[in-house]
Amino acid sequence: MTDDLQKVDIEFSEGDVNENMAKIMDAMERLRISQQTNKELTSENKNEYLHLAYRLASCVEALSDKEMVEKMNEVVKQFDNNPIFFGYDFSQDNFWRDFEPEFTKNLDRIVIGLAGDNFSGLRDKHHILNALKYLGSTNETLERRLEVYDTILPVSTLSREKYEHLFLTGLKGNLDFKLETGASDNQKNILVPLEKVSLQLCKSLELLGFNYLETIIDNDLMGVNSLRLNEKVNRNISVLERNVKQPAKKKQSKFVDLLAHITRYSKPLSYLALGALPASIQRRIEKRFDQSNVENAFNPNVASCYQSWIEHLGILGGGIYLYSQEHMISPVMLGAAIAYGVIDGIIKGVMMEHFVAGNEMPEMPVDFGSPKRAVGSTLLKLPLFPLEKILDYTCGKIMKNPAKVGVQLKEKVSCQTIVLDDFEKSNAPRNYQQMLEKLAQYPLSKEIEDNLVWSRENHHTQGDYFADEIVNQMPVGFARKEYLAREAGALTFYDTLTSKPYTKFSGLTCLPGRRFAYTFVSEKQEEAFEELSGILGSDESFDKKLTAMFDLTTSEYLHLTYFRDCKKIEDKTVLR
Amino acid sequence: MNLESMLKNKTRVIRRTPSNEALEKVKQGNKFVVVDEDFDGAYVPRNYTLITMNYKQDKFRALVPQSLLFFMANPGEGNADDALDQIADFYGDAGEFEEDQIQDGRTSVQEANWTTCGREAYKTYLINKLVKGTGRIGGDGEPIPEFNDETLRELDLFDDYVLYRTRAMAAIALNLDINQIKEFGVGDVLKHITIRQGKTEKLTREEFKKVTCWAGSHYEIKPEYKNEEGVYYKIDKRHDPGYMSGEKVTIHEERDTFDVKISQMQNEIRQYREGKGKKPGRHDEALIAQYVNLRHIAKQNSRAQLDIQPPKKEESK
Repeated sequence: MTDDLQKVDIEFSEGDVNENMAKIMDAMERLRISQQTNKELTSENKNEYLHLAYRLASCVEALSDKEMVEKMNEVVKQFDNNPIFFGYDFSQDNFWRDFEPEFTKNLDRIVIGLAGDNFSGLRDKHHILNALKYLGSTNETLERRLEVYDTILPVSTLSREKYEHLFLTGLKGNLDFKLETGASDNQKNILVPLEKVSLQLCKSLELLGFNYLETIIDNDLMGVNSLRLNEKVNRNISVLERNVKQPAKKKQSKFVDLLAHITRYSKPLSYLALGALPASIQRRIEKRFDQSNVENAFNPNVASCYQSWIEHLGILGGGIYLYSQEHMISPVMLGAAIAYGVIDGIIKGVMMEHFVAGNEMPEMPVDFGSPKRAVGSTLLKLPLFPLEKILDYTCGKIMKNPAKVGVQLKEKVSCQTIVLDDFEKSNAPRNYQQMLEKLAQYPLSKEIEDNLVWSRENHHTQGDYFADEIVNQMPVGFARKEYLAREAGALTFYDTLTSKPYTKFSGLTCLPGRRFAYTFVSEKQEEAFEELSGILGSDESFDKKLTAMFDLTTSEYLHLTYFRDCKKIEDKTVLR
Repeated sequence: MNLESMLKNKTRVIRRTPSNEALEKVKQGNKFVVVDEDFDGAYVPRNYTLITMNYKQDKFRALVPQSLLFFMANPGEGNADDALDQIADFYGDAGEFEEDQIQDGRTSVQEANWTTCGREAYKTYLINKLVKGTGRIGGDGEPIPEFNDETLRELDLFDDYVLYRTRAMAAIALNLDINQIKEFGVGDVLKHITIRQGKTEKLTREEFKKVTCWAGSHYEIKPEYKNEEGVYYKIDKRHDPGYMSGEKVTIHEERDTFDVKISQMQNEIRQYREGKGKKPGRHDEALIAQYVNLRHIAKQNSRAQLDIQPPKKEESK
């Protein structure tokens, strides 16, 4: 601080931020408990909770390094992919863990990483997630931000309608979908593109009470596609309608409108040109024009027929004319022209099935098969083949014969409320690391240190005298569980705190002249202290020990400190 | 040869005085005035301190009254009434700044530190006002607070009506069941109700047709389904034969409980004290809540303690 009281400079450290974060989450938790027990949440308290979420978000942002931001980004991105996560509530953590394990796991890791040695259970997930909602919305529009702020609540109490609104608004950003009315009043269906159909989307829609997820697949590939779809969503699939129009994807520009107008009012010329193009390109044009404001702008069947007639008549007429003009072409060439016309005609006849020159193709009944097939000029097929492939690759294939299939969604899944562990309810101290590090610096005589190593004299007393000295220094509350690895001469004092599915181990492993204090959070309920003692007692470098211990314990978080002759030598933390 | 390019780089504008906006807020007695730029120490408004809080490379500057700074830096020291007023004002002013931050989607770790410290300091001064000293040590090794009788008298905490309600607040916060509440001696204060716990399902069209009949203007539940044991139906009655919407509720259990809210207890206490011709002070509600925490909740489950926020300025008027 400066001497002058008019101006004061304060240095603010990460430790201060950590302390604040714990206080903020404590206040948030009190509001949450208050709502759960009191069954009441006033608007003032909602505001206060939002302010606390803003403060927590500020702390989280300040403490996060690049790796942590990447983890947080994974969680925040999920809100866009599946806005159902806005409704996450810790009391239904088991349900969410089952519903989307990856989302829950990522969130666990963030909570464990941010809390570090202070990890005291997963209940802070609820508040951290609300802080992430705040951070994730900072670049959104005010309208969207306000919608997100509505979901920042001590207990998630969003109504089904609100969920649905959030879900659908969120989906609009990255998914073209259409809401459809089902057969009865209560039935809700949603039509989404095939490539966006996923098991997770199905689960979310189930949760929101949708009855059917509908999508469009190629009727000709019905067998293969429906099998793949079935595997993907693990649900029953039924064909709802054949020969349906594919839903519009994008709004058309004025330029496309203009082209559609030109095509429509210059059909004798435009159909001649467009009808010669390969079939897939014609269908692409038809689709784009269908989405324009111009009706009946282009019909590929008619264009193909018209172009074929003109092409054949042109080749034949031209050949006869040239033949009649003093044998400008040989009879062989005239024959080749006629042969081309006949072969081309057969190919197109087979491909088109229905040949109605100069008229609109009649609408076929739904289950009639696949009558609509445009064919282009055989001559142009080869040179335009690469363009067709490029368009298929970049814009996706155009279905020749689309069919709508429905994915039957199950009844709403019931949510299981989690039962808090004793630790969650208790007022247990959050952090034993500092206490263990202090103990690691507690000096003992060489005689006591030697008590850790097995000898014939101390077979029945190995580690006992050492333990007596250390245990006396331990505070009330620490469980003081012990494990003696006899061969390694390593005595470990430890305590465990469980917050399902995680357990926090706080331990002090003592070897003659060397001590290791550590805190790690793992999904394992029991730890292999024999192997752990072996690792810590080995002659490997500290970093190698750290890596080996991290692998052995499959920790999400590990903080290891090494003391030699009661002096701290190394102190490192590793996060998964 | 010249040093013009170097001179250009060296040019900087130094602000000597705080901005007019900041000065205006100081004039209004604002307890937390955020300033964007540093300025000459000689121009710091009287009785205020310009505090620059540095976090890594980021600086955050604010003008705060020197007296408030004392209370925040030494929680528990000085006059508790002054401290409570000043911290509550500060919390309100900082809250206004936060509202702008939230509206713009911004964050500030230093500002979060200010408000967090304010919140904590406020609770410390509440304890200071309520408690004379730590008193004797209890059986569990924890010190038992020795309450200040004068403060308790001011808060009417010797009055049975208020006292019972504070106990009821604790019972609610501790989420006690009906028997525990009776043991707690506050069963008479709380409204007794019976809760029917059941499962609600939406009626399908077929089920709706089965349990209802068209009564000319709307659907009615058939008599045989009206008194079905353990099940009852709720339907929307509309003049529309096509509209068939309703619910089937299956009762699993009926249990006795209390229909209570802490805010209801607080209102009753406020109204009672006003009825006695007393005008509740600005911090009375927070003091009573902190008393409930200290007296009843902390020793049983510290996590269940009531959340206490510094009250807003308007509430004092």
